[in-house]
This record gives sequence, structure tokens and C-alpha cells, in this order.
Amino acid sequence: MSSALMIVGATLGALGAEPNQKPQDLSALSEMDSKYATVLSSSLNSGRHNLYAGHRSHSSHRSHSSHRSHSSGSGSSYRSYTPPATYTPPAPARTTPAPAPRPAPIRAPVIPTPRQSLSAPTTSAPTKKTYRASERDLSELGGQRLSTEPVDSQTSLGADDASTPDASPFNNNFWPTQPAQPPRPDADELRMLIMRVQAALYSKGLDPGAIDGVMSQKTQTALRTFQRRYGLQVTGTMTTPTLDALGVRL
Amino acid sequence: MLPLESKALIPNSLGPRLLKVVGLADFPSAALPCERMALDLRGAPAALIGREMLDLPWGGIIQSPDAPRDRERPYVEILGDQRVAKSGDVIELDPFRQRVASRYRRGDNGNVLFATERCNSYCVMCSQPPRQVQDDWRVSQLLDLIDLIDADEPSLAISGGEPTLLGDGLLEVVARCASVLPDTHLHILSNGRLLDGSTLHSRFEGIHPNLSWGIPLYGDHYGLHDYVVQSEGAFAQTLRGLYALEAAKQRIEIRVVLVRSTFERLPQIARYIQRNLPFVEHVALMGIEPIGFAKAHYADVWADPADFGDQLAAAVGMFDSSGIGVSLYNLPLCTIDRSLWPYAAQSISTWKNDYLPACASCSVKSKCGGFFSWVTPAWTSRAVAPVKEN
Amino acid sequence: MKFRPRDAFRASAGYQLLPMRFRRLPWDGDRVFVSSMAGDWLTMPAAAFQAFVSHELPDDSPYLADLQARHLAVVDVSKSSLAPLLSQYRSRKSYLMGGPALHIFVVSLRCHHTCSYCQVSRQGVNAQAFDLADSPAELAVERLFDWPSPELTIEFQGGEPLLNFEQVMRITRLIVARNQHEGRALRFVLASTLHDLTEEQLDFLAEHRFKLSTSLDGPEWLHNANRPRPGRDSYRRTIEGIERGRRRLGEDAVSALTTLTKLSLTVPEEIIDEYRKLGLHSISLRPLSPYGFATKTARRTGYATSDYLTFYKRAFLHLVAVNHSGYAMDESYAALLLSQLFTSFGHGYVDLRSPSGAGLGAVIYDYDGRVYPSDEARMLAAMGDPTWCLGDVSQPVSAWLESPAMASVLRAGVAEALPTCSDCAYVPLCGADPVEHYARQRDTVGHRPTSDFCQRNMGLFDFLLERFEKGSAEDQRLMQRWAMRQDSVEEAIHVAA
Repeated sequence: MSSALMIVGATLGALGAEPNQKPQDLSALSEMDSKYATVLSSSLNSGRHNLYAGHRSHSSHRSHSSHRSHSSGSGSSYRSYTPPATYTPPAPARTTPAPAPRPAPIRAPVIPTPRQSLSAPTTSAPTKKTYRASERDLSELGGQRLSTEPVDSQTSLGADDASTPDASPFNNNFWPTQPAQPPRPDADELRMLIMRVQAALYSKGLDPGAIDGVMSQKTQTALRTFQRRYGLQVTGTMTTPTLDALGVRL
Repeated sequence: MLPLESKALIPNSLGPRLLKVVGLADFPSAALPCERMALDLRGAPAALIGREMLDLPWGGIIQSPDAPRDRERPYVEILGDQRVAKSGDVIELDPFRQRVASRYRRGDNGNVLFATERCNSYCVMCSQPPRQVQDDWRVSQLLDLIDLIDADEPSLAISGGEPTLLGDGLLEVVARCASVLPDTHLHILSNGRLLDGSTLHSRFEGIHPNLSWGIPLYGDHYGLHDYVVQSEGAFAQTLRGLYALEAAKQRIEIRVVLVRSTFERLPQIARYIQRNLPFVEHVALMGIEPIGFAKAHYADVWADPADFGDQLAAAVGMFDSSGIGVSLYNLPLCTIDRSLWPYAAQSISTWKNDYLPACASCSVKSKCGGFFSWVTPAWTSRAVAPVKEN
Repeated sequence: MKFRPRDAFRASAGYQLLPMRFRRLPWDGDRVFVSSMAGDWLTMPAAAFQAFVSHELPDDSPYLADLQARHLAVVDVSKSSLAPLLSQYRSRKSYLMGGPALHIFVVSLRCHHTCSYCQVSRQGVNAQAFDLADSPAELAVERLFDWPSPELTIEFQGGEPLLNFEQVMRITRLIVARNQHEGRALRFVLASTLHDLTEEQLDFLAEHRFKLSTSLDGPEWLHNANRPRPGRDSYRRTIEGIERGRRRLGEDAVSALTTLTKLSLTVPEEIIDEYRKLGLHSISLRPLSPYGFATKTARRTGYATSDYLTFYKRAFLHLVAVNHSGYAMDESYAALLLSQLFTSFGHGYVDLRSPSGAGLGAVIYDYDGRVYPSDEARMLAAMGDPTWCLGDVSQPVSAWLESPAMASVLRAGVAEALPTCSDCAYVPLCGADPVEHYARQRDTVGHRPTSDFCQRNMGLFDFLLERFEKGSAEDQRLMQRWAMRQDSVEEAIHVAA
């Protein structure tokens, strides 16, 4: 570049002697600046962005949703004790005749004790259970009974329909006979989930009782009211569609 | 105008921390660990909140003034304007000074990642007068803050002072934004001077999916630009910085604050940009913010936009015909010609945006950007008057 | 930090001059046009300019701001950057970086017409000996991809390329197939009368998104007079071709240009009105060139450059009025010159470049496999003077670059180094044309005072500059819009002078 400058500069002719200035300053500057020289083009041609999304964009409050994306589960992985809360009911394809049109039981994750009966027949759906990935591995959820209040059989925290292919809701021997036990679900995690649900219900104008992480009668009632209002299946339990509608993160 | 900070009662046992404010409505979907959240219980009936809820390891619990104070739990009471924090915001608890400060406001269009108080220019109208302090600690605080910002935040600015003074720290901040907030547009406000003679610019290439730079230019020759930024050599350095950014394929916006000397020369500046910097995506022509140094230099900088309509029209026309986007910021609609209204943006950050009493009967108020909260009569155009449309 | 006033930033040690040239305005002897090395410019009073170059301008002179902004002066080296000036310069010459982008394939010399001004050395409609055969065509395609340019414009012309459309299709397909590996950006152009276009031809043209370029000299009587063919119905067939082309390929896919004969010069307004009537938004008013049959019939159809300029000025004024009345139409050469004046971008017009566009911006592959740096060079060979032949398609490109013809182009192809051009204030915006100077003056360097090329370009630059300076704000905006229109300049790419 600077040699081009020389060629052209030479044609300047005698337009006036250059007093005082040291010509090499300009040459040095041109030498240095030549590495900054670029071929000019319009930003529209650069293909970077045709629309300017400015910092000053007018933004309105957006709904806050931080659900993790669904990912289909290691449906058969033993580890995914597949807490029912993550179960996504498939399109209705019941292979066992269900006495009542009840959805597959979706319960708060818990390790059932064999004496707890499973309240509702599940369909073959359990084997198609999908485990929604979450940071907290819900296989750890569950635990002992959560409340001393009478628990509606509908929501009894039943053994879930494990992930193992031959698991059947009615197989009460499921737990003891398994060679490896899943890790005990963390009571804290479950409490947290219930508290989230309770807070969400309160925010929607319902009364969950106290926000205390305990699945109380009031909380169940509020759940049912919510489910009815939003056209969800009314179970009084923390079904996945209910959690979605409440905006509860798992 | 929303408060930037407030006095507060904070237990001394709490260390200084950044916390995401989470109200009951947001708690269900909150993804952060409790330690990084401040549960906002203002307005919630005391009976509602069970002990188990309070026992969670919150970083803080914001309580109503009348709520019981409990030494074991990290209760915080805001003593001043309660609007300093709302759900979704990020606050900084300063137990030493017993203050709560807002660091991020959900829903505000002007959230800034404040990089440093230092600057290598001393613009005559600077709204954030620089201080020579050692504040590199801000880098890690920003990294902390970024983790707490809404993932669906449309845009953030990095500003100061002069963010490039952070050097590698700036790259870290940008990289963290790229990884944690990939959908958030990031706009770095910088004078570009330090990009001259360094390789810093090249390291920005490709590190963020949605990054742009806002670089100020106040003249088409150094005598004018260097005067406005009160630094010799700034013009040449900024130009080199601009070319360096262009070489690193960065998106560039030029910002022209309309101090009087610059306003007078605006058409020539527009021509200069079109001839020499045609790669810029956008030019923002900005009314002065009457705060900081601007106030001290009122006589030198104030220019009533109503007196410079020709210059504005000429400059806008030049950019328009050459395909460079142009917007007018901080200029109320009544102070500019109607033909320029399509270019006016509602640009003032929500928290410092207000209207004048005169605006009450204005028929275009909802489309107008209004004023800075600290506007005074001296800084108000003689043309301010409600617009009457049919 | 203490606040310092404006004067504190004003230097007090004078200023240095940067390379510049100047020209006294023909319409105002008291003012001069001053241009920088890269083609930025201003006009100023001659007296002030004199003071400027004599270092007599005071430090607070209001001219210094503009002079610095245009890179004509540097007040303080330590506070200035030459990066903008160098970037402007680099941008204007940027076409050099990719090598020739325009590649013209002459697929046949056969033509229906017997235009008196034809520069093509046409042959009769059935003279298939003058068709481009398969073998040289294939070799030409290979040579095409030997060039480095990431963007290639392939233009088919003739004669009448539709008369050897098989070859057009063949070459296009070969290029597209080869481009699978090459990944260049391709553009196809057909320069044709558009007479008797068939549906199959249109299908093919649509498939490869051809742009069509045709001659439309003006209203029917003028067009038919200029372009005789059996049936004397050239105009009707051209119009039909334009319509069908636009319908199949899009409104913007067909461009038309005029060739101006002595007869044409009498009716500038009618020519423009004809284009408007047909809904065309761009017109190209190109003058006759001294090649092919045009030379032979010069006395009958030719005219002096000054007559052309007179015509052009009338046409321009009429065109501006048409625009102001609400119909948008630009003149493509004016748009090019205006883009040179008002932007720093490089342009695509091969005929106004320095270094010359011949061979460096365009390559012509003739029907017989011989290769030329420009269409004009090819015409000279057709007239019996093979001086400018670079070689033929069986040779490697390196042989062409080392040929005496290319050496001649380069020796006389840098305007900044040619006598008189080197001092001309328009030189950063203008070009060198050694082939035209050779054709007209028998000398590649040329004698500027008697050069038609110079008279024409300088005349147009002067005219446009005067119109801009004296024009209303509306006129100025119009001219700037023409200057910024990228497509109008691209359109001009395939217009050989």
C-alpha cells in the first residue's frame, strides 16, 4: 500500500514545497495504518445481520418457563426407577381393560412398600414410560410416606410401574426381588416439588394450605380445582400435564 | 423512575452476595439453587408459608416490614422504595453498608452489565463519569450475575467506563454470556481505542452468536472528536478500532451523541461514515442524557434539537440512501420533524424514563420515548408540546 | 481531569498535504474540484485552494475540517489515521483481488440482423462454420475454472446466441456440473435480440435464472431503421421477446440498452419515453464504438463525441424530469459514474477501470477458441488485426497472462501512470482503455487531448458534477440514489462499450 502511495505521491508535482514536516512521518503512518485498511462494503452485503436487533429493543415481560426439554427415557434402564411424575401418558392404547377410565397413575415418586396397594390399574403404558430428564435425577425421589393425613387411595404412592419390562402394577414382589435397588429418593427433593406446586397454586389464586412441602388435603383439593379449571384430568395428584400447566419445574 | 438501590436491614452474618429474587409465582419454575435465590415473601400472608419452606437454604428471604424477624434465617427487609426489587430481578446484598442494589431488572429494556468505572476517555457529556479504581473484581461478579439473568432476556449491554479495559476479562464475560444466555443479544459499548494496536479484537470473532458493538464517533476530523472525548489521539485510535472490529467480522453500530459541536457538523459526519465506514450496520443519533459531566458542561454541549432539524434530516437522508440503518434516540417526537418520526426509537431505559406534565394530553405519547427522569427545564427543547392528531 | 475547550485541540503547526489532484470547474472558473488519492473529493474556491497548497491556510481555517475529512490534508500525524484513506483506495481497486469475473462466450457469429453499426462482424444465419464447436467449448469451460474469482458472470453473445442455443445449453450444463466441486457464485447472462424465443429456450433460461440483455434502440421507427432484418420487424420481435422474457424470468430479468446512431442522437426524449412505455426502469445510452462494421459505416452512422455529449445532456434532463414525475428510471452509465463520485465501493464495470478491465476483469472466448482480453480486442482481430489475441483455449491461462497482448494491456493499462491521466482529478474514478486507444489512435497509451475516451468520460463527469452542484435537493437525492443502487451497476457489467 505504501508503495502505491509513493507512485501517486510522485505525480503530485510541484504543488508547493513541504516546509518543516518530516515526510517520513506520513510514510511511517501509512506503513502502520496499512494493516488496518480493509475493503469497504455495505453491511447488507456482509450477511451478518440484515436487521439490527438493538439493545434498545422494547421488551415486554415474557412468561417465564424453564422446563427442561423432554427427552425420552432410558425407558428400560433400571436406574430410572421412573418416578411416575415424569411419566408421559401415551396415546390411549390400553392393553389391559381398565375398569375405570382413569389415567395411568402418576404419583409423587416414592418407593412403595409392598403392602401399599396400587390403586389403579395401569396399562401397558408403563413400559413405554418416558423419563423426562431433569437435573435432579428423580429416581432418587420418593421415600417414606409423606404425610400422616389419610391419603386418598388415588394418590397412594404406589410402587411404580417400574421401568423393567416385566413390571406389572400388580406385582407386589417387584421391589424385594430386584437384584439392585435404586437409590432411595431424597425426601428433600420431593418436598421441594410439592412446595413448588403449592406456591404455584397459591399464585393462581387457589388455597393450597401452607406451603410446606406436605401433600395435604387442602393441597389436593386445590390441585383438583386447578385441574378442573384448566381442563386437565382431575386426579388431585401431580400429574405431568398438571405440573406443566402450573409451570412447575421438575 | 425506579430506584437503583435502597437502605435495607441485612443480617451481618450474611456475606455480600448476588441473588435472584423469586416470588411465589416464580418459585415453581425456578431453576437455580436456593442459595442463589432470595425468596420474596412481601405481601404473602404469614400463615401461608410453612416452616419447611422457610428452612430451605435460601440466599435471602425478603420479608414485609411487619413480618417477624428471625435470627436463624437470612431475612432481609427493604427499608426504602420497595420497587428496588421484584421477582425476576437480581439484587446485590451489601450487609456492610446495609443496602440492597438492583443489578438486573426483568422486563427492563436497558439492563447493563457494568464492566468498570475506569475509562480512557473523558467525554464532555459523560453520563457515567469515570473513576480510576482497581475494579477487576467486577469480572467475577459479572460472571456471577450472568448466571442469574433470565434465559429469555432479549438483550444486554456491556458498558462502563470502557469495557475493553478489562482485557481478557471482557472476553470471559462475553464467553459466559454465549454459553449461559445464547439467545440474548449482547451489545458492547466501547470507544474501541484499545483495539488499536492489540490483537484483542480478533479474539471476539465467532465467540458469541449475537454480539454487536456500539462505538461513539463525534466528528469527521480529530479536532472535533478529540475535543468531545477530551483525549488526544482518540479519533485515530477509534478509527483503527473500527477497522479492527470489521476485520474480526463484528457487527458495529456508531453512536453519535448530539452535543452542540457535533450536531453542527452532523451532515459532514454522516458523509464521513458513509464514505469510510460503510460497513456499519446502524447509526444511533442520540439526544444528550442530562447527568454526570453533561450537567457541568451545559453551556458547551446543550443543543436544542428543534434548532438542528436540517442537520438531522440531512444526516438521516444520507444514511437512508446508502443503506445504513439509522435511529434517533432520546429525542421526543415533538422536537423532531414528523418526517423523522419513523426513525425515532423508545430508547430510554425503563427505569429512568419519565414524561413531562405537558405530555398528558399528547396524542402520540405512547409512541414517544419521553424523557430521562433527570430532565430539567434547561435540558428541555423549546419545541416540547403535546401533539394534537385528529 | 480539567475540561479543555475546543481550541485546545486545534493544532498550531500547520498541516501536510496528502496526494491530491485538482481541476478547475468548467462552469465556474473561480472554483476547483479537488480529489484525493482514493477518489474522495470536494469543491472549493480556487483562491482558497491556492492558499491551501501553499500552506497559507490559518490553523483555524474552516476549510481544514473538510480537507482532513476528505484525506487531502493531515494536520497532526500523531492524531490522525490513514486507515480510512487506504481502505477507500483498496476498495476501489478490490476487483483486482479475484481476477476476471466476467467471461464472455461467443457461441456464434450468425445473426438475423444487418445492423450498420454492428461491431460484431456478423455472418449469415446459416453459416454454421462460425459456430462455437463442442471441443473449444469444453476447453473454454475448463479454462474458466482456472481463474480464481469466487464470482463468475458467464455471458453468452454472438452474433445471435439463440442461433446456437444448443451450445449455450451445453456450456451452461458443463459449468453447473463442474461448479458442484468449485462452489463459485455463478450468474448467467444472455445478450440477444430475443427474437423467436421458444418455450424450450425459455424453460432452460428460467431453470438457470438467466438475465437477458437485449438491444432496444428506441421507438419502432428508430429501432427498425437502426437494426434492419428480413421482414423489417425487428422492433415487434424485440418487444415480444422482452415481454416473454419478463413473464417467464421476472420483471427485473430483462434489461435493454440502446446503441446510438447519428439518427438516434436527434431524438433523446423519444428514446427515453419508449423505455418508459415498456415499463423498463433502467436505460443504457451507450455511444457507438469504433469496431466492426461501425468503422466501415462511420461516415453514415458515426458522430463526434461532442455530439454524443450534447445528446446525453438532453437525455439526462429529460430522464430527471421523468423521475420527478413519479416514474423511476436510471441511466446505467450515469449510475456508474455517480457511484464513483459518491461511494468508495469498487464497481463491476470492466470498461472504466484502472488497471484496465481488459484481461484483468473480463475474458472473451471466441467461437474459434481464441481468447481476448475484451470484446473490442476480438473485433479488431475480426477486422484483421490479431494484436490483442491472448492465445487460445488449448493453452493454459498462464500462457495468456504471459502473452505480448497481455503485456500491452498492462503497460498502458494503469491510468494513474498515463500522461495527462496521471494529473487528472478524475483519475481515481476513471479508467484506462489501451485497446480503444489503439483502435482509434493507433497507440495504446493514447493522446489525451484528442482521445474520444477521455472526452467522453471527462465530459460526463463534468456534466454530472455540475448538475449535482447546481441541482435542487430533489435532484441531488435522485443522483445519490442512482449512485447507491448496486444492481444498476451490476447491470452495466455486461455492457461492452
